[in-house]
Amino acid sequence: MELEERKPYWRHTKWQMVASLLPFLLLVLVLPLYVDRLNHNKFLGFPLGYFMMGHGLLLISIFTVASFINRQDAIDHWHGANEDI
Amino acid sequence: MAATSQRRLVNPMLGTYFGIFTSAAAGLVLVLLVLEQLGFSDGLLRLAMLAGPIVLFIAVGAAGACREPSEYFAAGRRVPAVYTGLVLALSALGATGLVGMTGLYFINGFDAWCIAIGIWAGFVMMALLVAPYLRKHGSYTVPSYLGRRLDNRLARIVAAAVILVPMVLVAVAELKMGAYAAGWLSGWSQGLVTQLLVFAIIPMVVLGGVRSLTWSNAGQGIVVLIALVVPVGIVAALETNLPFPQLSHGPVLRGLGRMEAMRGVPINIAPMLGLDFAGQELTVLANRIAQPYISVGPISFILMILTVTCGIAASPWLLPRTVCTPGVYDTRKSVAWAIVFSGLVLISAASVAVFLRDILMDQVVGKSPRELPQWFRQLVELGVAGVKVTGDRVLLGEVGFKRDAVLFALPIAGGFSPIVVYMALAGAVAAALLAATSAITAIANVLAEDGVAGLVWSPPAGMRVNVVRLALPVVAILTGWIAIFVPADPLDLALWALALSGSSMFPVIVLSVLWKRLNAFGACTGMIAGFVTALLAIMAGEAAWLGVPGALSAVFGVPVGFIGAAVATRFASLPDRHVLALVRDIRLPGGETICDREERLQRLKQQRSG
Repeated sequence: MELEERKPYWRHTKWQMVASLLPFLLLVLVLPLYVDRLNHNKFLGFPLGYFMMGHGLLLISIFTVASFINRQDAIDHWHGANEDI
Repeated sequence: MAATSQRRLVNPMLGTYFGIFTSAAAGLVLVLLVLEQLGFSDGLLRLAMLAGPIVLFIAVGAAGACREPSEYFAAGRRVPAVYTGLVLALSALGATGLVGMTGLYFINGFDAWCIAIGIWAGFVMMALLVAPYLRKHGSYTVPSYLGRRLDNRLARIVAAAVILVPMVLVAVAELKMGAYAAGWLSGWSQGLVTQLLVFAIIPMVVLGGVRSLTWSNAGQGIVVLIALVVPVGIVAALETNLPFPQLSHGPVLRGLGRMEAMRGVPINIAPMLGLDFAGQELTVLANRIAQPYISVGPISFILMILTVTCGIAASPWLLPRTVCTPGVYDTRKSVAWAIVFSGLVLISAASVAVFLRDILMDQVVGKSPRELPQWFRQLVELGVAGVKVTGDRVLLGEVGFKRDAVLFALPIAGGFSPIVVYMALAGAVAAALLAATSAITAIANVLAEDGVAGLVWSPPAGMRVNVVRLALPVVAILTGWIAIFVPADPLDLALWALALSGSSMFPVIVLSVLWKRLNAFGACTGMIAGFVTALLAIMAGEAAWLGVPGALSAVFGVPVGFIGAAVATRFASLPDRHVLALVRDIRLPGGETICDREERLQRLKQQRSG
């Protein structure tokens, strides 16, 4: 990788970290406060609050990491920082 | 222009090997089912179910014998993302997570989700902030990484000393939980089975180090998944006509809520900072299962998520596993797989609790003491359940359960063959072996690499492997000895370990990647300050001096660690130019793994001088 390419690569990577982490952390910290209200609804037979805490946050975690891997790999390729297989 | 890397090929026969392993494990269960029908003695069947899988694990481990350091410490960096994800997930959970969490879902209900969410969020943090950079550096232990990154031996020794405590706590917790399940399975005393587990662990990992560890752990992971998912899958198929308990326990849960409301089960909301998880003793079922914040207050719930998150993201017994993948991209994928596997295990555990509660509400609660079903009487005889009836009908608040017995009570309550119960117990033993070997190998590697070989910057390859081979049995025996003689709840030990590792390591590891300025003085201050704060907070929490429970001590430790590292760094000089170059290199996924390059250059130098 060219030396002058490193700075834009790292800036891009840092923004990707923030873009992936912030919405995830916000959901993890805010969703538990609304469990009682969500529990009045149901989804797939589950009380919605219970579903969101278990299955919901699991799916959100998987989505966060999967989208991060996809985007970060695109950033690596864009700047030529990717591993050569 | 893409930088080149030294990627190694994954063994294309891995799927075949583990297919054979899975068939052998399933075959063992089927043969024992046949033998049970033929009238073989119960003692023999129990022994076969305990020893059979352990012999398989030892065979897999011993087959990975090697002497090359890159094989011995990083499994040759040839472990595919799925296998790494499986061992990461189950090393993070272990038997304490598997057995303890099922019990917590059953007794504390909804509130147990805070630990599960913390584990998933911890893996998210690990994938985003920590693991890819450690993989690029490629060092075999966390203190070696910090030592090289900070270019300082003292920082390496301080990191090693600080992380030994949480790793020993995890190893002891796992051995205790493993001994509980193995003791139930064999009928032998806890002391004896702990010694047996320790003497099974030594041949499993001593010959091939992390290589043996990885492949025997993958086998253990498969056994754990089968032993967890099969019994609850059968119960789900019987109760809901769908063999997917993870998705089908919703209507059962709502039905339970209606029954609890009809029977007038009270709702007692916990104080904001309350944390009252069930211990190992018989605990009364006083809560509604889907009602939030009954034993954990809303603030404690969020603080527990954050504590577990930091602990998992920086846990020194998990991070060395992420450097065994073929590349940085695979490391990111492996952590994603870890979330998938831990999710499967934790949601299956929750469904075990819901189905057992449903059977209990249906067949025990509301009945007269004379009508109690046979399976419940059996659990009472075993001492894992109890009932104190005051009126003519059994109330939910009069039924007590032991937290750690819930996972094994479901196949008993479902009326399955004893072999299915033994299979669940063998699964818990496998989970305990998995996490205990993970922690014990990590401790031995830290002692040998950072304690003994670390005193010389470039130790000869043969010496490094031999020192670990000596350290492993000593560490295994010492942790086994602690597990036998120190009375403690494994779940408490595991939560304290996460709080300590989060407080001492999380700030420093994250800053070491994101902040080029971080120097050795700052890192040592951050590690020591975070560790001491968390330790004091745990002691104060346990002695009830502080309003915050000990398990949440990372709430103080992590901020103190960050502030300590940031402030102390300002008082010391900037890192050298070659350290800054190293940080820039760590941040790039492409290029040769830094440690591999150093080892290659060292070998070349020796060849030239020789």
